[in-house]
Amino acid sequence: MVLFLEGIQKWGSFPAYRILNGEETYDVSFQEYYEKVCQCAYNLQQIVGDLKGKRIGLYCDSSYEYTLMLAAIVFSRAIVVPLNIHESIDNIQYEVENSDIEYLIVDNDLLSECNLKATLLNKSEVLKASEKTIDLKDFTDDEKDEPAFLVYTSGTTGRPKGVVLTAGNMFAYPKTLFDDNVPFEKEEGLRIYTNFPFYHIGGFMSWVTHFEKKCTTYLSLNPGNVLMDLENETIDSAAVTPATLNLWKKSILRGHIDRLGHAKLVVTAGAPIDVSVVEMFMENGIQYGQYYGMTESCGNITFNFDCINHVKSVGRPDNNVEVKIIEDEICVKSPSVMKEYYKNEEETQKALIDGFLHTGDLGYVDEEGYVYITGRKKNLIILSGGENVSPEELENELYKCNLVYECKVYAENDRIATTVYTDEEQADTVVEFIMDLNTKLPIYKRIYKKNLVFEPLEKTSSGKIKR
Amino acid sequence: MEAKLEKIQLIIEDVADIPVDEINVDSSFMDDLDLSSLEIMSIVSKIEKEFSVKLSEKELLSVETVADMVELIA
Repeated sequence: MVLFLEGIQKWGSFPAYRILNGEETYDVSFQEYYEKVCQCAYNLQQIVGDLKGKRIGLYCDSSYEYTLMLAAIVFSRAIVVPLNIHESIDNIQYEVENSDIEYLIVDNDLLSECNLKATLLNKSEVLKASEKTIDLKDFTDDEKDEPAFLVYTSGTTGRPKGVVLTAGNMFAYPKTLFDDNVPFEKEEGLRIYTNFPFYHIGGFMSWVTHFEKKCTTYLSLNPGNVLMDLENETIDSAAVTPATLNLWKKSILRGHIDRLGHAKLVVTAGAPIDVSVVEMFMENGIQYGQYYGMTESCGNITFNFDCINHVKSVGRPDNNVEVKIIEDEICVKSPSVMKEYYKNEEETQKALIDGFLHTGDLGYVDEEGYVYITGRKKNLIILSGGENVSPEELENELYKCNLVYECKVYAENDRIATTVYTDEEQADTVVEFIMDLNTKLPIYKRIYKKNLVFEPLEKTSSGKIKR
Repeated sequence: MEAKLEKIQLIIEDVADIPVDEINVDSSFMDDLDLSSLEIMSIVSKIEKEFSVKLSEKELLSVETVADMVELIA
């Protein structure tokens, strides 16, 4: 097992985080971080009693304190359930109930009117300073199979699925940060900006990996300040969502390369990126890299830092990962592959077959071992913000309008689009319905393109609407 | 009003690389300007800084067009 907590204590006064907020920017050292984790664990124990095996939910904005609570919960041997703050309330309610959360830590009142079984705890109560602490211990080999994280991910059917990740999935092996192709002599001490939210697998990975390697993680206190926060900072690398790279591309085009904090390398994950964006970064002397992985694989399946020669590939398998193509589908065996979908035997059996995780991505491996993704086997929209959206969930919403006779939801140029079959004279009412629906949806689920047709949609031979 | 509109147009141009003359007062952020959610967040941050205001999520939900934004910070 990787000794995560021991590492943090060893790194001492070195900055673990730099929290960017204009003139109020500040650093948090590894030592300080460790002390806060132990205080938080103490506070939790005072409220909850023995935490072992209990499910504790986190429904808070992403922040460095978020990771502190993650650490306090899992190293107290409870199971943490991180909930996406941008998910719809209906799905959050489902996830809270499905996961059997006993205590839910919140920093907002979005759930105050929901009748939840879980006890709500305020973040400030859990994080308050305390003289007393609990001495937390790293996981041992005997605890490898114990569940530690329960992370919900959008399935292809309406409801999210709970991915059970064990202590071993997260901590049994050293993480890969970079390889020899990056412009750095050593990993220790690197300054890395990231904006993957910490309720997302990309966020967990940056947290665990940066801490293990003694890197400083740079965060924006307000994610909307991504274009201002790095202007007077110097970072080595940035691990950001594809949407951020698109935004930075525009900054470079407008002559504002200084907004990238002199980064020598930008890395992304979560969704495919346009090759022209990669080329533009490289033309401006910034190397590009990418990780490919999913919640179910608990992080990296492949990574690619040799984009000059393999720009369209997601790279080669991580050291611990075996990739096999089964009927055109990318399948993965590794010590980090999830244990199961929580309380969902049927989906687990579909995803884990003979020790291989079936990713749902279609692709191939070239003779040099580089993996290429060609499409999705299942119907799931993957957006550049790193969020996955189930088309079926949105279609169900659309069908609540009686005038929507048939519809399909899909992605078009990284935007959610729909084609709806309705009557010509009702078209305006349907458009109004969709615009009204959009105001109720989390921003990343909103339907941009509305394509109305006045005849039935094309069907497959089995009578389903053709995607 | 005009001055506010102009400043907002310049912010949108700066963030999203859309020429000012393509940003009309009744342009919808999503449908006409085709902005991503991160672009909208970045624009909102810059507007908050420029006009020294703080916009709540609730207020922002009602913003669909450039005109809505001008009105919100008026």
